[in-house]
Order: sequence, then C-alpha cells, then structure tokens
Amino acid sequence: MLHNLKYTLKTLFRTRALIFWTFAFPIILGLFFNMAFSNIESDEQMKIFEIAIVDNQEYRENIIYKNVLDNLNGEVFDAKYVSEEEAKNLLEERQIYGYLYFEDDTPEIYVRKSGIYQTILKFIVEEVEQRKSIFSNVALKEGYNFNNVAADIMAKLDSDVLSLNNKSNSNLSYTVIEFYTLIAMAAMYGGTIGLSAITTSLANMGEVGKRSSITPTKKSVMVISKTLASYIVALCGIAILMLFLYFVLHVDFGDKILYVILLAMVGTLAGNALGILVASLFKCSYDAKIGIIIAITMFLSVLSGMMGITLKYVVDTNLPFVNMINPCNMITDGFYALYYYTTLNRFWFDIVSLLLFTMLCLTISSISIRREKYDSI
Amino acid sequence: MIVFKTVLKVINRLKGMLILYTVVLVAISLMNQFNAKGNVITYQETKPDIVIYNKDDSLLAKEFVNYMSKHTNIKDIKEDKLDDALFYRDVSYALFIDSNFSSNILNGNQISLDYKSTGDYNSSYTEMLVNKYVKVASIYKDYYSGEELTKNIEDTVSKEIKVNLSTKLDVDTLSYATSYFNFLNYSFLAGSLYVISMVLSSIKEEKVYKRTIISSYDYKKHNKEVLLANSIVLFGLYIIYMIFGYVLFKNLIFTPNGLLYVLNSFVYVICTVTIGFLIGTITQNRAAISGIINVVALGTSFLCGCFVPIEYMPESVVSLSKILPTHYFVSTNEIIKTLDKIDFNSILPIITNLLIIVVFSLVFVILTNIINKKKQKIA
Repeated sequence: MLHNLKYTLKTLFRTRALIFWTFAFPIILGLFFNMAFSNIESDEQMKIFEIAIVDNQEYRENIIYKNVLDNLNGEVFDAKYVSEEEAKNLLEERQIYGYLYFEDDTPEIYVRKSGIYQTILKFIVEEVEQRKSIFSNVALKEGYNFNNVAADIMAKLDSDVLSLNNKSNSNLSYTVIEFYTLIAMAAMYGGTIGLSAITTSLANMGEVGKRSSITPTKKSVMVISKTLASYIVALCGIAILMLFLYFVLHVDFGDKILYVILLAMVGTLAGNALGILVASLFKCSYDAKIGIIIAITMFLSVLSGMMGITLKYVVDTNLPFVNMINPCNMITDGFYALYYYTTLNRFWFDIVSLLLFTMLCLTISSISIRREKYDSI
Repeated sequence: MIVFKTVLKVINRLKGMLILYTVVLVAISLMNQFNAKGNVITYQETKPDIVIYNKDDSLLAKEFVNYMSKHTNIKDIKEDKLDDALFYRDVSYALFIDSNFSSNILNGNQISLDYKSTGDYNSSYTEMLVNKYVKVASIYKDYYSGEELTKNIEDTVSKEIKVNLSTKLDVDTLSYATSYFNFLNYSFLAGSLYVISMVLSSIKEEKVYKRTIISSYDYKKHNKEVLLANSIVLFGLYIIYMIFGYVLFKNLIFTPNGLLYVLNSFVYVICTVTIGFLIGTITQNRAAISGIINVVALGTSFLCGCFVPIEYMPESVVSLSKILPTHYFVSTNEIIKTLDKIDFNSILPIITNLLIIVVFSLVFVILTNIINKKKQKIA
C-alpha cells in the first residue's frame, strides 16, 4: 500500500502538464483577476467629480446659485470657472462630467453622456430650483411673516431631520467570489490528477494498466492508494493556491479559518471523485477524458460565477436546482457563506452536498470498475 | 499546392476549438447586448436598483414610495433574499419604512429609517433622494395637510431641469461595440495561436520535418504555402467576426467609427498571426501549447482591459500593459468610441497606435526568423 502510494506520488509530481494545470494555472489566473479587479470596487464609491461652470455675467449676478455652488465646490464636486468655449473643450476631452451655462435665472446643463455623476449634477440644480419653489409656495403664503418663515425653512433645510441607520453587513466585497470560483475550479481540475492516477491501473488504458492488472496486489489496495496519492497531490495544489490568495493577493476569507480549511479539503475530495468517475465511466482515450474534465469544470465554473458573479446570482435565483447539484458552486457558495453570513447553516448545506456528490461519484466508479476482467486485451 | 492542402486538412481537425472560441465571443456579446438600450441619443437619468419595505399605509408614505419609483427602479425582492441581492448587486439600496414614518414627519419628531446598502455611488444617490423628500415634507407639514400636503410636495420635488447632450454620438451602442471589439483580442489571439502552433507542431514533428527538408520540394515554396493556408483561415475567421459585428451593430459598422473598428481589427489580426508563428516556432510540445495559449490570450485580455474596462484598472497595470500590442489595439478602440469628428488631429493617435502594432508584428517576424535559423542549424 505505502509502496504504491509513494510511487504514485512521485509519478504525479513529475507529470509537468498536470502540475501546470492544477498548480500554476489557477495562480496565474488569480494574478490576472487581481490586476483586473483590484480597483473596480473603489471606483464604484461616490467621489468628488469634476464639473465646469461658465463664468459669465449672468452667473456672477445669480446670487442664489453662486452661494449654493460655492458651498458645494470641493465637497460634492470640483468646479472649474471657465469660458463657454473652454467648458465645451473640457467636456469634449472628458476632463469634466458636465458644465453649467447661465443664460437666465436657471442654468442649462450640458453633458456628454448619461451617467450617475451627470444625474447627481442634475439633482443638485433641481434641488436649488425646488428650494426656490418652497420659498415661493410657503414664504409668500398669506398670514405668515416672511422673515420668520424664511428663517424657519432655512433652518429645516440645513438640519438633520432624518437619521438613516445602516444595517448592512460589513463584508460586501463581491470580487472575492471570483477568487472563490478559482479555488472551486482548481479543486475540480484536481480531478485530472485522480484521473491520471487511476488510469494507470486500468488494463484498457495502456501498458502500465495491463501490467498492474496482472500483479497479485489486490485491486482495492491499488485503487485506494492511488486515490489517496492523488488526493494528497491535489490538496498540495489547493493549499499553495489558497496561501497565495491569502498572503499575496490578500483575499478575504472571513474569520472562520478552520471551516475554510475543511471546505477546501472536502472540495478537493469532490474534485478527485469527479476525476475517478470520468476515468472509470468513460471508455475513451486519456486525452479525451482530460478534455471531458476540463470542459465540465469550465462549464460548472462559469455557472458558479467565474466569468461574472451575476451569472451565479441569476442561476441561484431562477434555477436553484442547477447550482444545488453543481460541485463548483457548492465550493464557491460555501466560501461565500463563510465570508458573508454570520450563521453556518448555508455552509453546512454546501459541505453535506459536496460529500453526497463525492459518495455518488465513488459509488458509480466502484460499480463500474469492480470485477472487470479481460481474457485477452 | 500539396502542402497548402495538407495544412488545410490539419486545420480542419482543429475546427472544434475554433467554434468554441467563436461561441464564447458571441455568447458574451449577446449577454452584453441584452442590457443595451439601443440608439440612445437623448439624456437618460441613471436609476439605481433599490428595494423598499413599506409598513406605513398612510398617503404620505405611499406618495414617498411613488416619488422614489420615478427616480429609481424599485425591485420586488423578499426580505429573506435581500442579503444575497445586495451582495450580488441586484439592488444597491434597501429602505425599511416603519409604521411611524408619516406620523413622525407630521408631528415634527426626529425621523429614523433603517437601510442596507452596497455603499456605492448608486446608494449615495438614493440617500440624497430620500433626504430631499423627507426635508420637503417636514417643511410643508407646517403649512399644508392631507392631500394638499402630498400634492405640494409632489409639485416641488418633481420640478425637473432639462439636460443637453453635447454629442450626437450613440454613446451606448459605441460602448457595446467597443466591448465587442476589445473582446476580439481573446478570440483572435486564442484562434491564431491555436491554429498556427498546432499546424507547426504537426509539420515540424521530427519525422515529418526530416522528410520535408530532404525532399526536392522547394523549402521556400513550402513555407509560403504554410503561411498562405494559415493566413487564409485566420482571414476567414476575421471576416466571420466582422460579419457578427455587422449583425450586432448594423447601424454602426458602415459609419466612419465602425469602419475604423474594422480596420483596427484587421491590423491586429495580422499581429496575432505573427505571434502565432513565433510561439509555434518556439515550442512544438502540444501540452505546452495549450498552456501558453491560455496564459497569453487570457493574460493580455485581463491586463489590457478587454474583459474589464480600462478606466476601472489600476494605473500601474495600465502602464505595464504598454509593453503589449493588445494595449494599442484596445486603446484605439477606446479612441474610436469617443470620436465624433474625423480630421487629421483626431485620427493621429489612431494612426500612431496602428503603426505601433505594425512595428510589434515586424519584431515578432524577425524573432521568429532568428529562432527558426538557430533551430535549423541544430537539425
């Protein structure tokens, strides 16, 4: 048993293509993800945005707007006071989101395209107009003293009459899902290691398989030792990947580290089980079997959110059954549950699902390869 | 033309993967198109996706929700699904209106509302809308009541200002077209690298290669036929992708902007062919080739802003990407996206980028020849 284990380990570690796909490729992909996604979330935060104000006679005489815009300048937006020509150029060169042009009491807003900052600029101008409307509606109403009412309105407009209480979860970084799908993909790619190990004990898959089949070693001993060896190799790959993600790319896994490790181990087991299933069930060449595992893994990874997290959410919401039987999603979802949720129900559901998937794969494989005998091959 | 035909036969065996790359391209482009509004040349207000859980039956609360629905997309999401919806950005803000909302406003009490948000600009804007309505309501409640109150609030908060768009470009369609043409980097590179390196690995297989060099067939002619067959197939692929481009963006392709996209892609596909020959010359190991294709095609796509828009990428990554031809391909597409007048000054950066891609191609050709010569000596 140990002898078999040792040599399977040696063989697997020396198969360069296998090590590239299971060890190096996920790390390279992780690096790419990090380069592409590291700024996305901070860019989605509200920032001070650039606008221009055409500094003409009409603007300078418009006391209301001048006061409001001066107050907001530097807090909500950064305004440049320029001529109309310059404002047009700045907009053309996309150095500003929009500009205000005063021809009469109300400014015209010019933008190059629709967008959130353009909408906020519109909101600000509308708010000034609405404040003017409040004064004309209320302050001039019969029976009220204008000065008292105006003071009261100004006080209310500047007061914090509304308090908004944030009840959001603090872990809201959605790009972590991309890295979780990467771990899921690597775990499923680990199936190619299981496949490679098992193939060497199948008589119909090559010379080594034929020789192995006629040795007096019990088949169960051979299969178990090879499975164990491939599991150890795959675990090494996952461990290196997770250490890289955690220490180099600083991917947040939440604070339940022991559960994270448990999930990684169970996920890797499920990947190996998939490899063993493909090895024993399909009667085709080794390369074709590798192709099947890669194709299955890519398809399942995409469904679990690798090419955009929206797809995982869409499948989870509209076709929950599909993702319930998708091992890549079980792994991704387990990490998500540990990162985002305070309770562990969802995590345990994913762990049990992965174990069931593993048992199902191994049962089918064992039925498929037990008592396999050849008179001549 | 024996070599030519043989190469075509080899490529014919590779068609499965080429179809796969095309399917991925088309699927992703269609997914993008799904969100496209199409021919938008007037200003449209950005409406954040939000959810409101209202427990107040009063007229004021209903009018408030009505006001929010004009400036946001209110989605119907069950409360137990809310956390997932926020995390996956299905909504960016969730507001909980309790049963005391309107009574607190009318009695002049402090108004307190719970919310959950993603913390992005959409949620900040939503908060501005909420604040505005509550403030107007808390001023008007001293002067009006009942329906008169809600009507006056509505009159005030619905005052709108017209926004002028300074360009007549269909910015939305151009954005989707730019994403499509940027994504072509992946399809072109993966396609070229796969076809050329697989063909070269077949004809440079030791026994085949030895037979070829001792045969009487002119070696230069042999090389020309290999180049011709590969180029024809990849040109065919280019034409197919341009036809897809035409199908997706009918109104755009024959405009000056559309034709510039087509030209940029043409220059770039030549560059990918030279990269394919370089990699096919460096290694003939099939297992290594599939690794290299993935790393090169995915790597350049991630690094140069083909998958994630370049404006969202860190400055350091953008600077690093300048050593790759893909950067100039993507950068040209981004320039075309905002080009609304064609004159020498506006075209100049595009011409510069195209020339840089040509220079890259020449460098790859020279490198391929140097490596080829060295390998020939060993053989």
